[in-house]
Amino acid sequence: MNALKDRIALVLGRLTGQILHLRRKDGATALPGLVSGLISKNLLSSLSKNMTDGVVTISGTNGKTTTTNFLNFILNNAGFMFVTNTAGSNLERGLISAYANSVNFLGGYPKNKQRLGLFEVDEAELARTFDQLRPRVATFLNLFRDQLDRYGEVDSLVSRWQEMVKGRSEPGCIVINVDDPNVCKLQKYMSGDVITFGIEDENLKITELYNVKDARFCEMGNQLQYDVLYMSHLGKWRCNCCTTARPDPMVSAQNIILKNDSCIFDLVVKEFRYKISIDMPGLYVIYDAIAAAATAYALGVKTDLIAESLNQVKAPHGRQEIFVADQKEIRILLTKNPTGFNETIKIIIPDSKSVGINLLAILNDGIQDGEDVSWIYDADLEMLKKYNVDLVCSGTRASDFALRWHLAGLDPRLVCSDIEVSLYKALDNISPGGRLEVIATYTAMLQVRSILTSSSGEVENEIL
Amino acid sequence: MRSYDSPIRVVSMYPDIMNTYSDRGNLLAIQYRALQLGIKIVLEEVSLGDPFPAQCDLVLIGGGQDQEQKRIATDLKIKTSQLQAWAEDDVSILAVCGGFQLFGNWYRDIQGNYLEGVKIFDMTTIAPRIKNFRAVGDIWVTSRIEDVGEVVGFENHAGQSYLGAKASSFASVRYGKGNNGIDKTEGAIYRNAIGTYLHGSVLPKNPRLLDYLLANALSHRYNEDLKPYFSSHSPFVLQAQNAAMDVTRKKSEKNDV
Repeated sequence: MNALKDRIALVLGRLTGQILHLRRKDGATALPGLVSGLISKNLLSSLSKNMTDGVVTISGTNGKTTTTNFLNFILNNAGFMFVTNTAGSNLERGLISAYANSVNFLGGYPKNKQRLGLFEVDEAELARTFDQLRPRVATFLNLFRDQLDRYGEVDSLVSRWQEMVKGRSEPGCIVINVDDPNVCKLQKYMSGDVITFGIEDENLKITELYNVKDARFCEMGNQLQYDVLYMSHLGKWRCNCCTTARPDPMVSAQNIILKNDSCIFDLVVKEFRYKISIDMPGLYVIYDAIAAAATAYALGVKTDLIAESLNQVKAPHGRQEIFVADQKEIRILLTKNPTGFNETIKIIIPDSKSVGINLLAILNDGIQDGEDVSWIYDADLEMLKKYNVDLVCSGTRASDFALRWHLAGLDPRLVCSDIEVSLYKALDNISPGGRLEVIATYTAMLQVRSILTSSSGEVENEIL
Repeated sequence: MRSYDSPIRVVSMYPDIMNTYSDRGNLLAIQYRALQLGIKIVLEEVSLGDPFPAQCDLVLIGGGQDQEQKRIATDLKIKTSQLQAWAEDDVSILAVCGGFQLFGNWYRDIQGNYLEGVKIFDMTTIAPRIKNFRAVGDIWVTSRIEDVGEVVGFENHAGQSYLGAKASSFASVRYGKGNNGIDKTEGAIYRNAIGTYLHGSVLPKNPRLLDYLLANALSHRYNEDLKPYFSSHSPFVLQAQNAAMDVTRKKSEKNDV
């Protein structure tokens, strides 16, 4: 009876998705799940049980979508049949939607397909859905201060994650970033397997003038020491009072070279070493790549294949996506918290001070952006001070952003809450062949994408 | 413009720990405005185990998570008598959110731990364990200090603060929750010490509050009543305050419907 109910729920969800798709409406990633979920209460749980190869979850503050996207490439090449929420809809309804959109018109799975669920899950939602998903592999990326108004403080998320994995048979395996002391702690609560990943590069050091850490103390309450700090509180940490220290990671990135448009590193898994080159800049891209590699390794994928796949990856929606309009490039950089912002600034800094930067900085204060915009004061905008920046500020909190840039010594040329107007005004100052960098919070990123994709004819979507 | 040769001494307390709600923005605003007014600043960062400098004209303390508040509460006990002496001596003080709570009499966190405060403000704070309280959102208050006027920011706290007989509130709430969500009071004042829940950060976009704190610091340094409100503010500052008020009013009206 329940199975029939689930099936009806899925068929209706799928139908909703198709109608939305035909009508070219947004929301095809959440509404089908909402519809299905209303009909059958324990749908997520029974759907997850159907996955004979199990469920994989990817969670953390920064890098969920990119890591999941990287895994997509690897698992595809490895021949896995899987359901995934690639569009970044990572709450319960988004997970159910991913299932609903993958069934056939009778609500069943096509033969021999979709045996694995690969889901990015919102870091706060994870604890709520963990019992239903019962992941075979759960990957934990990092925890930074982010949307404190919505998620609460980092400490409370840390303790919820600990409770979640404590004394359980599932997940069979956790994959953790040992560079983050809060994430690393999870292994103490875990009875199953643990795969670790991290960066091993003494030459990389933090370059911000100002940096906030969201993990400061060991469990005895003493301050952590760092031999190397990579970003925020991520690095080679240890505690002088107790014996806790970052363990050597099983999967690591070494010999890192960060370029303006790409990153190059050695992927090291046990005795194997591979050269990886990814056409996306930024240290966090490397974290996402090794997180994906470690997760694939936990699923039994051969290291050769992991390395080969990582060399083929491309940027997902709104994450360093590049559009072209009137021979001008527009690069969208999603940014929603101080740590992400600092890394983004490092990406847009040109190699020479004589090269100008054209920047559209958009700050929205919707629920998905974080209603509290004060985090802009924790980001080190001052890193851009010495550069020649043509700056336009936009979004619902354009004026807050403009003031923050002003205090950093960079006065915007234009402050305008209307995103479309700002986008065209920002492009005005760029000559053909030039590039506009767009730093945007979540809903702002969606708006910019929608403006660029709807003015068809002039704009070709060219994902790098 | 009068020149101020003797710098004002700013003590930033626990900047590495009590910085959860972008409290660094307040320091940036002070440095920015001081430069504009030709006031020199000597900044001292004082964290766990650090001694206070001999002189101080302005004290800043920001917000932290429960675990962090617990960590500093022990250290604050050693620093309490000096802080009280400075408050009595009319040193300019701004305590925000978690720091504000710890500058009261005591704070009981959500786990039921009692943290003793510095007792500059006659105030107690309780994070209720049964009926959860959380004040999260944009807030607009009118200060009881005439020179300060309207103040806008963001609040995010689980503690409810109640003022005792010896304390007066910093402001009355126009939009938002304030000290406890009940009596429409926000923050506390004792002499030149101001406690408030507002971050955002609060000083960059509330120039009159910023000037008030600086004037008090300057008056303390020169031992005379100085009000250097002579330099106008950048349009970026004024525009940010107006826009934030607009957003706060609109969001609040939308929620009321």
